[in-house]
Amino acid sequence: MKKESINAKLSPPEIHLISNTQALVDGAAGVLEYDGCLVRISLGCLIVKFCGTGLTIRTLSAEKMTVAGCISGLEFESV
Amino acid sequence: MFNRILQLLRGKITVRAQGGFFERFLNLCALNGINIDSVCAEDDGIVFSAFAKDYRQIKKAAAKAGMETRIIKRRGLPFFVSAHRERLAIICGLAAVFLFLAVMSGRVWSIEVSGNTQVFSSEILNEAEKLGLKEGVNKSKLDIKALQASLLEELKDKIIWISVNIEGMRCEIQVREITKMSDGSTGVPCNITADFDGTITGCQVFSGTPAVVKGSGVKKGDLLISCVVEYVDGLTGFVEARGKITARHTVKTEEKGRSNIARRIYTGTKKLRSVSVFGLEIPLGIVLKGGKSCEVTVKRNRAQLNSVVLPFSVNEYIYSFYEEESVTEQADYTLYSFTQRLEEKLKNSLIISLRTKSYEKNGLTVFSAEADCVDSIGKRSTVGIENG
Repeated sequence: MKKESINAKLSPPEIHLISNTQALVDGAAGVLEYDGCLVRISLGCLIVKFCGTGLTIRTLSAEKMTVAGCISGLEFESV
Repeated sequence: MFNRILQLLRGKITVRAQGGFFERFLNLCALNGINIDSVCAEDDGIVFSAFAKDYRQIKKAAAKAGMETRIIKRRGLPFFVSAHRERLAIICGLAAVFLFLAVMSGRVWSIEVSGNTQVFSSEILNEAEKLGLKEGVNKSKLDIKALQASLLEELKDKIIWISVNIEGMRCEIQVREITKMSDGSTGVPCNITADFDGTITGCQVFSGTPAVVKGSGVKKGDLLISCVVEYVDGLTGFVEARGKITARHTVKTEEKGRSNIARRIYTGTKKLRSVSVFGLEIPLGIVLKGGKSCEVTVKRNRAQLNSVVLPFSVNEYIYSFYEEESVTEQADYTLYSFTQRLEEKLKNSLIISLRTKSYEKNGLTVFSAEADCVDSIGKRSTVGIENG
């Protein structure tokens, strides 16, 4: 279990985009901001920002997150 | 699909969380391993779905984030059961019915035989039962092709083709019986000759030239219908002689009286009824064992609905008890039985008169009989024809 979490911390976060309707974020460290038009997720060393309309968090677990809706923009911010 | 069924079985809730910091609440949920999904933002909070069992932890996380939670929708089996707790018996009954149907639909409950006119259905069903096809057998365990082959092998003297079809819970055994040709016509030129000595009483010729007339006396081997025919233009030809010729003749037979004959003396009968439900037989009385001195016959009355045999039957077992003893035939009894045997022997003949007598010879009773009867006398007799 410990080994897995160390590996997860060492491996860089991954973002899979399915068209502009769904984004799978692997290695998320937490939700920083959320409303229907904006989702900001901490990736540890980076912050990813999804802009769009009707955004929902479809699944949420310790390290994985799925953002769904009409995604119109994707931005990265450094911490 | 499978996930959805699993979620419904575990129970799912939709929760509205308001006030406080919902980002913190989401992070707390993720950290505590609470699986939440379908998170939608609202004016003053969020709406999400989670498993019913996680609600206590969700409430704690919400309290830490300064939020208030309220369940707005419940769905799934745990909620259905708790809502219909008073009707638990009905739910259990329905579940039992579905389970019963699921189990029973995998079995054969009705076996029917069609296409038989001479072979009894019970005979075919008995053979099928020996090979494993009986009421209540699991359909998946039946090897239809092997069963068909084995059944055909067992009944090869009577049946030429067999097919076993399973449709739903019904099994139909279709058979085609062996039928003998009405006459042994081959088309090969042949004569018809006398099979025994006698006086012709009837003569019907279908093809060929008659060699005898009604009232003629014939000896064994005499020509009755010739295969040689003469056409109107003077030419001759050979045909297969066909016809029906009957003759009157006398049959003589003799039989010595028999001693030490095993005879059964029936001492009584006893009936036992039983009810068969889905292959399970429930006797309505004390079961007797058929042994050496007991014959058992079974009559099955099967329930039917719109000519479909149902898996219910009322069976009647008749136990006939007997004692065997060795006897010497009485003279009058023997004469009677001798006459019966003779009549059985001449069952295809028309008996005009029968004379029987008995006399003593070397200490044994001898029975003799003379029967005047009318029989078919013709016998096919092949001829050799040289070409040219």
